[in-house]
Order: sequence, then C-alpha cells, then structure tokens
Amino acid sequence: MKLKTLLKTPAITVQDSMPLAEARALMHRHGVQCLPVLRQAELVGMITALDLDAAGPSSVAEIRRHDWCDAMTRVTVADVMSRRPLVLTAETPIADAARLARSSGVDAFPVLDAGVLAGVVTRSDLLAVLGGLLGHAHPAGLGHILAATSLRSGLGGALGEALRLATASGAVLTALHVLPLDGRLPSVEGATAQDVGRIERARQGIARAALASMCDAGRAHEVACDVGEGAVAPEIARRAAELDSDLIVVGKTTPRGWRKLGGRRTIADQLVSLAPCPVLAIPREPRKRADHASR
Amino acid sequence: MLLDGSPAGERALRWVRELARGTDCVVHLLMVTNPARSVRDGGRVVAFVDQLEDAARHAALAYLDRAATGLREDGLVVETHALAGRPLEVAWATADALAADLAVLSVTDLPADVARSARLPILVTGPGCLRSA
Repeated sequence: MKLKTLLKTPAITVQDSMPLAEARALMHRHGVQCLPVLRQAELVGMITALDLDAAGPSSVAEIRRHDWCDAMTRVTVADVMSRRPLVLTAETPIADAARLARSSGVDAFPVLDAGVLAGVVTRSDLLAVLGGLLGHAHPAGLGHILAATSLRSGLGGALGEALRLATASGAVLTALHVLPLDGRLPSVEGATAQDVGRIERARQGIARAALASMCDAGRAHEVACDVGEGAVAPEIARRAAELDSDLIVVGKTTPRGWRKLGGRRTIADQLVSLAPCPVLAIPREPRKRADHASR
Repeated sequence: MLLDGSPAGERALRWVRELARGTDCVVHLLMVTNPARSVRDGGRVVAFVDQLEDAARHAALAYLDRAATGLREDGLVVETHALAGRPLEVAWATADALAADLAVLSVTDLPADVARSARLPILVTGPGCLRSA
C-alpha cells in the first residue's frame, strides 16, 4: 500500500510570507498541527504548532505586550519554519514511511506527486493504517475458499487465483474437482457392481492425483484436495454449503458450437444462482501460440 | 463494482473492501440508471430527457458517494460513476475503458448468463448468497 491512498486533497498550505497569527488561525480552523510552507508553488519548509508556540511572546509580563505586537506584525512563517523538510512521494510504501517516522522522530511529512505537493501524511495517519492492517491480518470474511477446478487446459487460472487469495487472507483452501455424472461408465455386460465400483475408484484416484499435482505448482499454502461426483454446479454449491465456504473460485469457459446455439449455461452461471456465497469466475487463460500452431 | 442500491449490493461492498485492502488498486463504483425519454401529462411534456437523466445521475452519485465513504475511510482510493443505459452492457464497456482487473456485480436482477458474457474475472453475489465479508 502506498502513501497516495492516505492523502486528503487538496493540501492546506501557507505561504512563507504569512504572519504567524494567520498561520495559527489557519491551523486552528482546520484542526491540524502542521502545515507545508510554500514560496509561490515551491515547497520550502514545514511549520508545526510547536514551532508557533516556541516563537510566541515572552512569558515575562513587562515585555509580553511589546513582543506580541511585534510578532503579530513582523514575524512571518519563514522566520520559524523548519527548512528542508524530509519529503516523501505518493509512491512511497506506507511501511517505508512508518520506518522513516520512527527513525527520524518527524511527526509529519509533505508528500509530493510528480514534483507537486499532493498532501501531508502524519504519524497518526500511519498508525491508523497499521492498526487497521493488524486488525485484519486474518479478515473475518475469508475463512474458507473453495476452488472448483477443472482439468481442462486453460482453466488452471482459477486455482492460481484461489491460492493467491488464500495466501493473502490466511483462509483455508479446498480444491474440489467434480466428476460429472454424464462421464460415468455405462454398465458393461458381464461386469459386476464391484468391477464398476473399482473402475470408478480408479477414475477418482486419477482425478485426485491430477488435482494434487496442480496444487503442488503453487504450494505456498496448505491445500486440501477433494474429488466429488455428480451434477457439477449443484455438487460444488452443496460442498460450499457443507464446508461453510466464504467464496467459490471457478474457471469459466465460453460455450462454443452447439452448446452456444443451445444457450447452455456455463458452470459459473449455474453456480451464481445456486451458491450460498459469492462466486469469483476467472476467464479461461488465452491459448498459447504453440497450441494454435499445432492445430 | 456495479451497484443498484439494494441491500445485496451493499453486502458485496464489504467483499470489495476485503479484496482491495492492502493493494494499490483503485475501486470504481458504478451505478447505471435507465435512459429517460420524457414525462408527459395529458399530452403535455412536463420534463425532458436531460432534466430526468440529470436528476437520476445526481441521485446515483449521492448514493455512490455514501457507499464510497466507508471504503475511503479504510484507505482505499475510490471513484464513482453514474451512467445511463443497460446495466451489464454499461458495466462491461466501463470495465473495458478502465482496463479493470475484476468486476464485482451485486445487482438483484442479474441475467442468467452473466458469467458467460464477461470478458474479465467477475465476483458475483447471487440470489442464494446471504454472506457478507
């Protein structure tokens, strides 16, 4: 995350020729403790409430009145500002800014974007962000992600995206492959129920092994692999409900040929209407040139 | 993200917050209003297209600004857009124009082939989805 996400624009600024009393009133009006100081449009310094207090009238009663009149009329921002302030850019990572705030002891930094003052970031702004991140290290919204995988080429992107999300959020990931019912072997004459069962188990074993090898490709995160059987979309929705999933990630294809003409709904579209949680549909990866060449 | 002002849409807003948190992405909130023609009373035109569209656009932008406030407080960069037309067509055209990486759809009246018509990754909260992040 970069500083540009924190900036409140436009920045409140003062000119270096402004009398101190006006600068104090401006800080009070906007409820800020520091202001960038410009000469025309060029950043020349920073002034803080502490600088103003330090430059205030003497505490000795006899000379206070004289001091105060003098300060009101002649002392300007340029006389008390800090020159050559530490400057950050809008592209500076927040973590780097926090480290600099700690090491330098500076409370506020002017932030430039393409050389132009874009705003001010304060130590309290940085603390607010870091506090928010600590509170969401494991977002409550993503406890479990179900990645519905396909062994068809080009649909591996869904699993990759699910892995990325699970790693970022700390969610538990289950990769599920559903063997469609219409892929079931027709009964063979002479085959016993035991034989058909054995073949089905072998088929599931092959799918599970393929799934595990896909998961291994990006294994920075523990992934549970599961193979189901049935009507694909209802089975994925059923498993999502069973696993109390917070998100289903699925690859999506574009139907071609007769499927397109017949208006057949994609698995992703069926899931949208059945799923108990949001569905993230990832388009098929573009085919590689070599694939086209070999056709 | 396409919003239609429904509670379902606002639930999906929390998913956007979760997915965008910690990234540098810009969140674009989009509301699509119906293209207006004119309002007639006994054959007399009492309001014209531009007046109606302008009023609808302002109402949509006010809603989107309210929706954006929470995201902005979380440090996200949010831009709002109110456009007239057919919601999905406008959403896809806007996603193309912005070179969006992800579209989040949470309108109550989604067509059955919403995923099929998308050319980019989409996050959809369907009618059975009661979860919020």
